[in-house]
Amino acid sequence: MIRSQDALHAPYGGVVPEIAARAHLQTLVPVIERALENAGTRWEQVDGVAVTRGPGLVGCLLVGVNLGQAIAWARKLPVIGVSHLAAHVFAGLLEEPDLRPPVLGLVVSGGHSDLIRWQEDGSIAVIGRTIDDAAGEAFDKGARILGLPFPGGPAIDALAATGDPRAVRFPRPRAPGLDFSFSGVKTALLYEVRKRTSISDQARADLAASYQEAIVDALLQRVEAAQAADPTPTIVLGGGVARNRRLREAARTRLGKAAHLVIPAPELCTDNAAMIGAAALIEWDRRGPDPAPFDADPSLGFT
Amino acid sequence: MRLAIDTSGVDQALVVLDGRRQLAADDWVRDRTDPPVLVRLDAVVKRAGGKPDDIEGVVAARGPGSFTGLRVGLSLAAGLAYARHIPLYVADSLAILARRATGDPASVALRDAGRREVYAWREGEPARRLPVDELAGWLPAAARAIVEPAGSLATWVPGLAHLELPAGERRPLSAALLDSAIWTFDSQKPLRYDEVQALYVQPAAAEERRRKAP
Ligand SMILES: [Zn+2]
Repeated sequence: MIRSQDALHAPYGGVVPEIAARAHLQTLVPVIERALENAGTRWEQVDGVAVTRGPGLVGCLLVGVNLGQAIAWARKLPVIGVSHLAAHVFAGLLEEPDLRPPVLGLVVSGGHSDLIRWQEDGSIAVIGRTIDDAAGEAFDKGARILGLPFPGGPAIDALAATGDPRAVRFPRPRAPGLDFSFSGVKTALLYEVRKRTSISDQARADLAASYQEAIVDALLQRVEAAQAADPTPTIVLGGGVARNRRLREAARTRLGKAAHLVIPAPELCTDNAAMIGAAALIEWDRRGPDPAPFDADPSLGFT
Repeated sequence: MRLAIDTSGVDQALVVLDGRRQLAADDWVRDRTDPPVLVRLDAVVKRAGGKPDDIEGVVAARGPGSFTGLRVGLSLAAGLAYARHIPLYVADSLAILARRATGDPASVALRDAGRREVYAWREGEPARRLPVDELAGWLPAAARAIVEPAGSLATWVPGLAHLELPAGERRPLSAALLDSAIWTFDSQKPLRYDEVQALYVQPAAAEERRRKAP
């Protein structure tokens, strides 16, 4: 059961924190009720509660963390707080229940572009991150430059389908090591649009496809580099940007031979509670439920 | 037994009551290093000699007040009510604050809203957000004002400092919360979960600026 706030935030061209948190308070219980109903489950059959402890917008986390723990307390259920970021990696488990570390993971969303290693001791090490915008942000900003609606990723993905990815050669990022950088390609798109007096529909599609190609190429280039440096049997993609059709297709071509590639279904790549459940299963095995009530942690990492 | 929660201000409180009688209460001052409120909630229910299963109703302050505090209090209340299938109520934070006055409730309640603004409430009117500069024109001449943090009126409008109730004439927040909870359970309607809304968590001006942004 997923309730999206995209429509609520669309007029603002991005997520407005206060609106997000306000809506959470009103929608969370009805969403939980519907989810149980859809699953044909009663509370009496529930054995535990898993909730996102962070990272994210503090107002939203507070609602989930407190409401989830209050339910658990009132029903005397164990509760476990998990990382939203780690859950994007563990979403792969929903695709392949036997998924086990070591795993090389790419988590790409509106807030994150992280290259990680899920290690055999269960911990997750970040080996690369963005030094400026996240990949999803780069899509959103690119979409705005091209006059496309929010959220930008799906809009660019759709338009790019009719464009030529080789029409414009956008620069690839110049971040050191395994880090990402997307501000250069965004600026390049802005110049490309500004130097034209008018843009035909085809030109817009070409720009979208070329821009998308640059981002996808930058992402996969880093995954390839990490894999070359320290080969891992399995690679998992996750996060909202992993819905991008070009990224999925290119990942299969470029990474599929080097490792077993796991790309969850699109609806499991975007934020969802099933991945929080998957994370809870893994974390529960590793460290058990949380022994005492905990607070939201807006800057929580992967563990 | 029933439970009342007010985490909307600097002073915060929990009360467990049975009918009109207080079984246990907890008053504390908000602090970043506090344990989660659920720890206090668990302890106060135990002190009242109860367990989660005994709770038959819950009321939480809905603001105006702190963004974080309101979310914590309202989410705990909603989760508890939902898990136990018990009625959920909300109460206006400034009406609770007014009840901190000894004797009759204060006729005016003011709470610092930051950035030289205050949340202002007077009897019979909904709370509003006012610039400190407009307080002098808004305060009734014979007001008995209760202010959070205490003593602030002297800094906001020095000439009207005498309208603020002296510290000796305020009760613990839990005493006001108990009165408010009794009144709420007696006379108000429980809310549906999709009606739970915190008040004044967002300055309208900020929302407006974002709407106009390209
Ligand atoms: Zn996410």
